[in-house]
Amino acid sequence: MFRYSIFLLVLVMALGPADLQAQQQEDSVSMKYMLEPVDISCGRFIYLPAADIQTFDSKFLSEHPSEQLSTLLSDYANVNIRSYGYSGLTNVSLRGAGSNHTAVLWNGFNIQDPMNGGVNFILFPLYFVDEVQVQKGGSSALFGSGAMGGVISLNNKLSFDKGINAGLYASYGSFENYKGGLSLNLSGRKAVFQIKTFAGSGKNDFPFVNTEQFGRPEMRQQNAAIKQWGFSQENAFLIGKRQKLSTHLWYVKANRELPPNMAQVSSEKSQLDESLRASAEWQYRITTGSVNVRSGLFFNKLRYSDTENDFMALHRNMQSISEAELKLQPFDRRDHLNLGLNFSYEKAQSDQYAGAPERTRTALFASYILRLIPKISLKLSARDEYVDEHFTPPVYSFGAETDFFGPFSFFAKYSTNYRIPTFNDLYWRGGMAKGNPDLSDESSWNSELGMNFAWDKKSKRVLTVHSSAFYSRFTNLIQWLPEMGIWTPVNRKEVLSRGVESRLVYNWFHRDWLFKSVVSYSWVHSTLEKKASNEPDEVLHKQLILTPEHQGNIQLKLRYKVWSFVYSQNIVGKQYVTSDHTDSLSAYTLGNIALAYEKTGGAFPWSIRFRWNNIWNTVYQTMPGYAMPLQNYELIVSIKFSSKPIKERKGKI
Amino acid sequence: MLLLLMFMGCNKDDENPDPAPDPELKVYYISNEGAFGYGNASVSLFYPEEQKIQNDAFKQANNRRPGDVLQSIMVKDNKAYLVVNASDKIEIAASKTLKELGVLNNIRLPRYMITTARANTAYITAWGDGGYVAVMDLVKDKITDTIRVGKGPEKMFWNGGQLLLVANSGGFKDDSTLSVIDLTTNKVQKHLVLADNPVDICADLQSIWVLCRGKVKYDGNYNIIGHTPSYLYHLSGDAKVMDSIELFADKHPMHLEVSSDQKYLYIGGGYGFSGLYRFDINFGILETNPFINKDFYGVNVDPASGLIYGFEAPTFTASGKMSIYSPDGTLKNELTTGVGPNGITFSY
Repeated sequence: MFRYSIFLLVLVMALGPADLQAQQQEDSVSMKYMLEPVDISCGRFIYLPAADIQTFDSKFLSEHPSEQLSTLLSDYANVNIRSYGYSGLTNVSLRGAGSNHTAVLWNGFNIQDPMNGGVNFILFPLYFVDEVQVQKGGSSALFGSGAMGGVISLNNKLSFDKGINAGLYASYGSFENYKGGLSLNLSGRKAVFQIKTFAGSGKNDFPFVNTEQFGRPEMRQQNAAIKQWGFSQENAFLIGKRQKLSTHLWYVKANRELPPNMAQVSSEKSQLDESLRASAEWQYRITTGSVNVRSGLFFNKLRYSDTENDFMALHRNMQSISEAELKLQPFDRRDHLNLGLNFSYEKAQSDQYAGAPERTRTALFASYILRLIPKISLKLSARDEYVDEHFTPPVYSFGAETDFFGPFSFFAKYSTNYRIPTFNDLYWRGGMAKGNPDLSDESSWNSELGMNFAWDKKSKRVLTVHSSAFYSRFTNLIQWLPEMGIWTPVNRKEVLSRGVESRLVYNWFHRDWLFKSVVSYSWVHSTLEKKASNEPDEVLHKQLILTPEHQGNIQLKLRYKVWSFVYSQNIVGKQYVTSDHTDSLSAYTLGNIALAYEKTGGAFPWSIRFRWNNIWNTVYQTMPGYAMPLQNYELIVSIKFSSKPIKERKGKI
Repeated sequence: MLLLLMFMGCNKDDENPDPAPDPELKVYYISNEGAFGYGNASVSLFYPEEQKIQNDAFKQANNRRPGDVLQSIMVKDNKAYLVVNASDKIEIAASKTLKELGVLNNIRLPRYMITTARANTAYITAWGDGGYVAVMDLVKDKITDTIRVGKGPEKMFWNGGQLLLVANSGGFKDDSTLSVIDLTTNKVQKHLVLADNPVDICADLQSIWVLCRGKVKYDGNYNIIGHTPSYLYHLSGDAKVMDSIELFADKHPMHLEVSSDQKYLYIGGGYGFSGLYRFDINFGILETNPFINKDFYGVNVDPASGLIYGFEAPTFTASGKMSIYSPDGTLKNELTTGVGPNGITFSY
């Protein structure tokens, strides 16, 4: 399949060079310059180099209502996904960092789990999200603990003056996967009300050849069923000309069986996840900026059970996060100053903790964009946090951007970052393991150089190219080691991560035709530089396990009037399973096809989409021994109701 | 970017550099557990005459791994029986080539396997279902009977007569019994109550020795609040307790081996235990200092040569190591194994 990939890449490159032009309007998966000074949810990204951020907008997401967030990130953002089977647990990793080194923002709140530092992606149905942004590289100065490898931001965006909008989608996929969702949005001049609900279930008993068992039997995946549902309710109000109040409420519940490794013949493991998130935001515009205050409450519950081995564990946690920001443009419309205060409270309960540990966190942060001359901007950020009774190391970031050279622009960034230990690191007890309350914070520094090329020929032929190279060092990383027969965490490891990321988007418009191609590639060389005392010397300076050095995506889209066809190819390089590289997972590449008929306009726009995944029947694994499905299909029907905007209906609401 | 993608496409697997097994050479079998949940257990073949090791031999022979956590290997009648703990199965392969011959599934957390004078029969300890010994028909490759014993049945010992001794190690909890099975009826004849957590059994010319590892005591916060000592029990050939010796007040060895000249017992190894100690059988004295000062995960003594094989598995994400010592404790060779080596099976 690598030959196909290279062929496709060459084809795309051959189509591109004649016409180079930049555009954003049709590019729903685009690199955006975000200069909206009063956008609460993503406003802080403006203090990073703009080309650093990849955005998936609501139009793009509406074409993928039933998809999992982790699949989207893997298919379109070159994010490294580690999945324990089709319905199993999924972790993400950015730029060779650990899975708990990715901050996940929900409407601006960093909601990494205080117990394990991760985020359960199954609890973020794409149907509820209006915008996904991926920012790679350290940005703790802006987003706090954990933002060492990058940030994934999920936003809800409510618009005023859109009238009445309702939507419904239903999908049926292979292995008895049923999904559906409903939405209602009432949008007036001063108020917006939105409610969404979704439900889904799947048996996921896909066939596969178990190459790890005697006789290589053809089997069906067992213990892989999943059921989930959720609802969201959101409101926004304009109060006078200066104030905006918005609220967000999400509830998601997922019950899933955890499939066995191919080397095991059965599993009776399952996991129930439940999440409730509620937040309110108040924004007040002043002459030269705005004041933003927001507060959120987050409840998570996880119940893991293994009936085969008579084991059950219940974990619950709660976070309260409050933040106040003052955003100013003191001297010029292009200068931005942001001053902020964050106060968080976290509490957890688990059979594996003695009591219910809790902690308070207070952080001060500030950012500034300075335009020395019109085409050069400097971006500075700093943050310090007080956690219980100690200050974390102060962190900062420095970025510079210039667009002196016609279609070319360049940026540079340097940041220092940190992650505080999780409750598991500090307080775990049980299963021959014990947390260490004396742990220090992890830290890292990250440097990056990048280039953008944007070329637009009368908006008919458009090309954007983004390339960057990064170099990062992670120190004091927490590692669990055996000590007197008990596993306990210590600050020990050091990791050096460097690499190159490139992305090319080419669009060609002609009358009713659109051809669009996206090619992205990343090379991440992430190596262990300081090992634990019990590890052999052979692990030093070697690529980290389960971190592919090479990863790439190719998407080709052809649209004619209401019809569209998309072919995508994802490429994931070889991944080592053992730290001395004696064992590995093979590289793989997946081909997917999507065919859509989309009727836009009118009061009832509707669409029907057909997705054919893994068309080349690639046998692959993202975690060793966990089978993944071969060819599979999904049919998605969606219909919307859209009234005219209120301003055209004169006083009906 | 194109060049890099092309480079990526050319990045072929470079696994399996070792040659195929040579069926004419004398060979021993090393069980490498692999990392739990990764299904990357492996078998290393060690050729003692050439002092060469061939890692990942089962995968090379069959293009697949034996399973998840290979606990032990038994070789009998030109067949190798691979006891795969977390996969709940016994893999059966040709002993010379390791070519797969069959599999026996649904044994709950199997640990060790042994044969006795009873023809075509093997006994398998299993931690699942509260702890039992499975009786296997080696011709039909079927389980014909199960015998309930204590918790976490580990090593077994056949006394050469009608008794099979089973050390109930406690498994995930604690036990302090030794089950004595009457091989004429395949029933438990009696449970001997020893010290905490019997794990290993061996014998000299006259008597049987049982190692009880003791245990660490924790409070609710996993702080260590004390220990129960490890003990060595001395039993007669017909499984009667004759004597017991306290070994370590606060250390918990997992392995017990006898020297080929029957003069010493070697005690040590296992998770969290440092050093291999020597116990003088004639004088009944445990030497104060370690005979070999290494952290062995597993240890075995070749009864023919008297060589001591120590296995280090410091991390389950990288290869382990096998060290070979002469009977006087001199290091003779060190070789890299698969992930998590825990022991070697000698075959002649």
